[in-house]
Amino acid sequence: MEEQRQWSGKTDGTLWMHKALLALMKVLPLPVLYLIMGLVIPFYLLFNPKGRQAIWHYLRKRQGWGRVRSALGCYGNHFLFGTALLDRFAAYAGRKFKTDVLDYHYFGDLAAAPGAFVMLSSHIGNAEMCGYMLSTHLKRMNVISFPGEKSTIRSWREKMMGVNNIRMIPAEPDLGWLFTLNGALSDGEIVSIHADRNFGSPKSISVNLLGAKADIPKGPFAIAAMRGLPVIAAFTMKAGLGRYQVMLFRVDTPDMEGLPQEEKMQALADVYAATVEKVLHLYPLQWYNFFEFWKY
Amino acid sequence: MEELKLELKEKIIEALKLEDLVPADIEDDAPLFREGLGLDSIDALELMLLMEKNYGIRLSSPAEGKQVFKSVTTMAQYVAAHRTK
Repeated sequence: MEEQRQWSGKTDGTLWMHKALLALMKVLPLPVLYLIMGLVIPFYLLFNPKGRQAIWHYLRKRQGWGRVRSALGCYGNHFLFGTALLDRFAAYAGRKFKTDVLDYHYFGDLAAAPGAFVMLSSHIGNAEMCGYMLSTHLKRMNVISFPGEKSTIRSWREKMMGVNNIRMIPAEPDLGWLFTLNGALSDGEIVSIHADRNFGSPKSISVNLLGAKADIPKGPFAIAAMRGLPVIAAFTMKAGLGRYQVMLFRVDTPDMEGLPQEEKMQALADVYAATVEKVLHLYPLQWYNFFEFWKY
Repeated sequence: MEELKLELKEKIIEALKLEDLVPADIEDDAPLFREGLGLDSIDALELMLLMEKNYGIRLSSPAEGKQVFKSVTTMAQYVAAHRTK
């Protein structure tokens, strides 16, 4: 994958900035922080032309929006992304959010049944909040994460995740993390993985997404196909001030059983892409891949 | 041990669909990942499944697993010592 299709895996900002933000969370209401962040966004848009352009192309070409609506959409997209980041820190600081979970049974049935399953997520909505909202004492959730995150963010996250029966598995450049992942699958646990980022393998699958071809990583679908595991997709969308909506979809279908492995991976990826489309039709501004995702 | 190495090479070729290769193309002590055979993380998961299905070996320790997957020789030594099938 070319450089612009990679993310360093690090939350922006220095240690003191993160600590200051956490301290501010305790004295200022969240909407006030949203407002301050909203004032900074025009400058961010000005000095981040690559990200701005990627979202512009997404809104113009994939959502088919006009110029004025797309320009406003670029601001709206960055604003919502900012609120998602602030909400993440607010969650670290102990804030609870109202959450509606649609079709919980897709998760609940698999969590209650024996055996591992794969939960796909994406850089749409607030993926990290999803783990906190869907955790279960019945099975440990293993979240494959980027290894480069700063230790403070990692420790806050681990604190949140520890109480929610979630384990992070950082995808370090050596292959060690794969053995931890393998152990989790053998033990019948949940594996949560982003289906729009590469972890350790550059192989990809081509899918049709919003009317154009895009390459998505093969790894998440390979994990499921090689072991015949059930697959769900989970998206945590910001639905209002202090409110989230978790949308769940079943990705594998009975007619995929018995397919050769390569065909099954493609079939899973196609269904996953269709679920992403459904979510983006409802929440077009919560697409947070700030690079050229499609083959234009 | 030589028979086991040959068997492993055949199973690796089959599991990873390395149709261009024959067992003789895989050196006993060549690294399996990156240089050598150039396998990646998806291939590693396939090899773990291969070990589980064929030899009843479940690999979940990163330190141990990295040693086992160094080469066909290290895989064969581990299989010989730990197989339950």
